Amino acid sequence: MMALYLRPLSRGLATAAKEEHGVGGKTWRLLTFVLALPAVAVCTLNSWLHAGKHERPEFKPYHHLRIRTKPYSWGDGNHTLFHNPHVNPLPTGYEHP
Amino acid sequence: MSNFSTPPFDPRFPNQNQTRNCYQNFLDFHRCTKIMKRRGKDSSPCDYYRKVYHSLCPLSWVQRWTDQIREGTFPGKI
Repeated sequence: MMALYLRPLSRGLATAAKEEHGVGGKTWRLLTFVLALPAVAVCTLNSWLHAGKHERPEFKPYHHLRIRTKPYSWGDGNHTLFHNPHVNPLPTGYEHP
Repeated sequence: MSNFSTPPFDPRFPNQNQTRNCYQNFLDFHRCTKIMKRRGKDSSPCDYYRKVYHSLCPLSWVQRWTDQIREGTFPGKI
């Protein structure tokens, strides 16, 4: 799909801009509003539709995961930097049921 | 008189590092036993794998893996 837009511009961005509309990036502004932002909107919609309560996997104290050779330098040394209590278990298990 | 044997050459593991040989036979023994039990058959054909991994694997590895299987934390697929 990108090829449709890139084919006339394949000679180079500046040349194409000069040939079509003059320097100023009109093509790219158009592409931003017509292609990129609607694509962001569609992907956002898709995310909201797929959200909702997800069942979290059962906790198994695997030795190759949640390794603590040395405590982290922040907090209590046991939580990762972006720890999410709902989906990230500690080495001993999930925090809340 | 001589009742000693050693695992035969396994062309899947031709080089000096026999780590995977040990691990593979350990896995194969447990998979074999599990499937034979599930089908209600005698699991003595699986003894080949047990003899091989007993020869090749360090005892500490076997003990660690057996403990992990018992706890349910063994990382391999059995």
